[in-house]
Amino acid sequence: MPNKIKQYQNELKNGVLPRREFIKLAAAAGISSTSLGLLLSSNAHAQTPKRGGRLTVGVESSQQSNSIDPARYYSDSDLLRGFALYDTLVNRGPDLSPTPQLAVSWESNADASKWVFKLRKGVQFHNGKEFGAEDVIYSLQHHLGEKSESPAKAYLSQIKEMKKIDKHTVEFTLTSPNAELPIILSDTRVHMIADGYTDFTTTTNGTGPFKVKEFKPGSTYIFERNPNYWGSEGPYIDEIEYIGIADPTARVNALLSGDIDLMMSLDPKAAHLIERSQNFNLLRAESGMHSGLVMMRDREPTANKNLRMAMKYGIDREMILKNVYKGYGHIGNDHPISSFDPYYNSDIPQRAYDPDKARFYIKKAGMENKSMDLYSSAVTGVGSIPSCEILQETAKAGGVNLNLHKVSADSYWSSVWMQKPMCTTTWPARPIPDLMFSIAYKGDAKWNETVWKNDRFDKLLLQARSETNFDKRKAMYGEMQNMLQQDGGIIIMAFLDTLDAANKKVKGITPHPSGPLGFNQFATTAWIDS
Amino acid sequence: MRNIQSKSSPFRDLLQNLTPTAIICLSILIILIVLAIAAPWVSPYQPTEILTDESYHLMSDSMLLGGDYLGRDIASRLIYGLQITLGVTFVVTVLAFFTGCLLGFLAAVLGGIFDTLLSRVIDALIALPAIMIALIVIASLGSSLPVLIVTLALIDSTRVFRIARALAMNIVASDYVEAARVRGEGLKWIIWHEILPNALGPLAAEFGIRFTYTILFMSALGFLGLGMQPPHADLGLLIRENMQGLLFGSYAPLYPALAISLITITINIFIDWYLQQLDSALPSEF
Amino acid sequence: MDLPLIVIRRMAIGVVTVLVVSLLVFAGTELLPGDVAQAILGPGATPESIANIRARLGLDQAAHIRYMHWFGNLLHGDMGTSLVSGREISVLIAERSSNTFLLAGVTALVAVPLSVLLGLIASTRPNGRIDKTISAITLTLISIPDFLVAVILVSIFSVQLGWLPALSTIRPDSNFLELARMLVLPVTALSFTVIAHMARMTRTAVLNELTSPAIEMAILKGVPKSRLLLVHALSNAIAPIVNVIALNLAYLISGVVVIETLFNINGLGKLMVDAVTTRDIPLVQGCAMLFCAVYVLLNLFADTISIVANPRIRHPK
Repeated sequence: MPNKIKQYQNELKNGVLPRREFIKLAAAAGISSTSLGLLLSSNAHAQTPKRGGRLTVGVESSQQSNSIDPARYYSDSDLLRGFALYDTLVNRGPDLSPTPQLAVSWESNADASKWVFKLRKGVQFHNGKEFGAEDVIYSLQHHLGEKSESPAKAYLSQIKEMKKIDKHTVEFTLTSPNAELPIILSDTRVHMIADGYTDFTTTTNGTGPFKVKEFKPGSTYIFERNPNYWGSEGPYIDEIEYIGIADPTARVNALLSGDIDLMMSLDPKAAHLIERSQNFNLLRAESGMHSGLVMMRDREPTANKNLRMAMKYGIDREMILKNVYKGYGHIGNDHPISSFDPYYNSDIPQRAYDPDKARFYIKKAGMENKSMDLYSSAVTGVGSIPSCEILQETAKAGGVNLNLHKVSADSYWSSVWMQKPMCTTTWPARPIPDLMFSIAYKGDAKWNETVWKNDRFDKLLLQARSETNFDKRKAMYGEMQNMLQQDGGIIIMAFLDTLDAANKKVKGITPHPSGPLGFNQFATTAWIDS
Repeated sequence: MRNIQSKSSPFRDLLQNLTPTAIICLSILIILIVLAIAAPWVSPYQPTEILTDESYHLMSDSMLLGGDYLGRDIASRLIYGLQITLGVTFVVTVLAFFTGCLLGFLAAVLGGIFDTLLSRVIDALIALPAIMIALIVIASLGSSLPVLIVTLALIDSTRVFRIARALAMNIVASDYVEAARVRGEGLKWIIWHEILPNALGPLAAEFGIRFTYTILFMSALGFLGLGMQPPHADLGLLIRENMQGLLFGSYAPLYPALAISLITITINIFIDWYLQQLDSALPSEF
Repeated sequence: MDLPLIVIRRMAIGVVTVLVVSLLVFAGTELLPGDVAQAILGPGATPESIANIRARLGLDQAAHIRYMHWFGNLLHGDMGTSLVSGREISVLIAERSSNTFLLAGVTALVAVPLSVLLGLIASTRPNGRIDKTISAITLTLISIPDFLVAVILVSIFSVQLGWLPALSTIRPDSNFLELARMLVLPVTALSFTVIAHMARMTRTAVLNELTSPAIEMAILKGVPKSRLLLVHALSNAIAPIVNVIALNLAYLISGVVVIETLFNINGLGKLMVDAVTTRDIPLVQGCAMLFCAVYVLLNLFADTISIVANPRIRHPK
């Protein structure tokens, strides 16, 4: 039932469900009027934020490769820091809809192929320069340039032309219509830098709530408050320090001992401990972030559909969710859309663990009790290897014999992923199905890891982009989910909640489905209650 | 020559001199080795079998030492872990001592260009941190058991070489070797009859220490994500993967640590006793 | 041979070692699969962006040209720039060295005298109660992996008791008291790993000397036991002892990545692992050369002490 309510809540926020209708449905689901009030207003218990103080944040890693160049973000901690230094044009609301940030409004022509964005006035860069249209063009060009190494190039390249209309208006012409351009511009890498800025080695020039005080990749990251920040609320903190603690146990210990105030990526096993604790808060949001198992459809043995079916029946999704993720997440149904997504196709029956069926299919594939290689690495999420160990065990009961290889993080993406037929993967939450499908399932997508090539699928993807009616779009995405579930090369091992933790004295952080610590934006809203 | 007698004293004499401590250590070692060998028969469950969805299940009749982070039986994993750790470490250490001692003694006795060349290459290898060599080799060749064993043995043998050579140098500088050389004894004789017996004491101590270091080094590699392939786990990896249990007051990581301690302490105490036997076998005057 | 002459010879040997290491490291790093371009970009890499990054980093040149170029620069004191962060390697290494040398130095100050003392005490009455206790304690300490020791220490002294910080983020402006508080736990954890080795070697080497004919003769002549132990046995046993100390000091400077990671000490070990995992080859080479230099110097020192202490090595007949 709670899932149902969340779905209604999302539909309500998306404007799909009228408010009156929501209340009726919620009442039918047995929700009391008091909890209903809470559901309707997410910021119920607001306190007046206090200014000042220093915040120490424990992040997952501290490496030489850490960067504050938006085109060279590599790890989650890079994104987290990036959001303190820069702003995006468009932000995401808790319902994943586009909300104004440095752009205050936007509109498109009838077929959504030309877009005009009005920019916020009176915004200053850290060096005092005023923000305007030329900065927007420069920042996007930073990803699009010929020499660019940015992964954002993949989805920004649909912008064919950028034109400055006036100081605070910019026009984008797209290669093909896309009704979802605003949400695409809310991506974690589309950060606004000052026109002409090039050297990101030790500092940068953004408009974000914090400025660089000290940036030494692999060792020290200290930011100080930007007193001229344009936002009406925040920043409240004077200084933030990011400390990379790769070991999950050491990270929790540092939080418990008070050495850090805030931490990202809590191990699910420790989440329960934090939840019960008097002095710490668990920051949790359900999210479309997922851990997956890739079976490449173009090479043996995974090109064999029977073998893929054997795997799909040989995995115990419930056990992985319970034993590895301690229930902090959702099970998947062999396609990347989560059950609480408004576009989720609930008509497809949930596939469950069935060793007999697994045995049936593996026999049909002629691979019964033959050893197959499965590759995984901690770099695809701390839960990946344990999940594979469970998979290995449950699949064995169905006659599917897996030989698990643990690969070190450094060579995984270069020599395993998209090369070995069976390996684990991970994807952050995407706000709309289009982004997830375009990046990893479209026939010609660069990261089409399962080598999914289906003309009908690609056609539906393009149609859905320009379809403005929600129900029709949902039906299209629903059909695509069905195709993947039936014949695709992906198994979703679990959808994972974002799990972070904070000392109780740290307030003002609202968990967000798009990413850790309030979609990386805790720096703006957090404050310390002394 | 003082050590010839001790070498010739029969093994049975040695056993007759067992002290209570030595007996205890020997029994513990034997029990551990038997457990490791008999793992498939004595282990209550398969080490990979998932028995519960609870992390760090408490001790119970069905799970004697409780469950691990993934809901598997710790006792079973411990027994299999013991097998892997003892087996791998033994092979590694023996390989390392064979190579290291042989080269070290030769270098000390032969001296000259052989010593210089070998010492330079070994010095170069030893001058690089062990963890760095392991990282580079494993990153290049992939993490498999043979690669792991050869890498660890290579690293260990350079350390053994150094100690062996230093010991042998001291012995070679002694009057006995001088006398032997004057008598016209050959290289083989000097190594077997002068260097080896005299170096055996410190080397035996070093064997114990290196055995422990190998176990610990393997766990350090496990910490960095290299090392054993799952679902196999050596004792170090068992500690590592259950370390978070400490937050919940679980003893899960302490059992494998205890096992490592038991191995280390018993081996070393036993070697101490053995050294004592060597010494007491010496004639008190000469 | 004269003492200065021997030392000069050892120094020459050290230089050769450094050369051999540079070749070994260069060859070794050439074998690394995957490359820095892919490691930097992670899953986001596209063939186009990889080609761009490779050209930017000069990876399209032949190996021996890069080696000659690099070694030539190294002789001028220029270690190049990091492929990954774009910062100067000499600056990077200097920043990290201060933390590492501080940690290693304090650990050595605690652990070396303590272990030699423990070894000597143990050897006064071999197999007595004190000897056995020392043996049992040092063995127990060494047999627990350092990461478990670190986590247990932090759980007790930081989380439960709140006496000491769980992280040791050393800063240039940290004052003495802060530094002292920060260093207690990592130094303790590191001492655990090195004390046993050094103490046991001291004990074994001294005992070995005590059974040597010269000492037996001295016993017969009635030389007092304490003098015997300190002057004769220790000075003769010094070669293996200083060798073990040198090994352990080198380990403290280069191999403590686990402790650095757990306590967030930005030292050389972490830098090196970081360099290998991101395939930052100039940085790997830079770290290797530094570790090698440290090792060579420590051993030169150890050898010199051995030679001074043991005339038999100095005057081979």
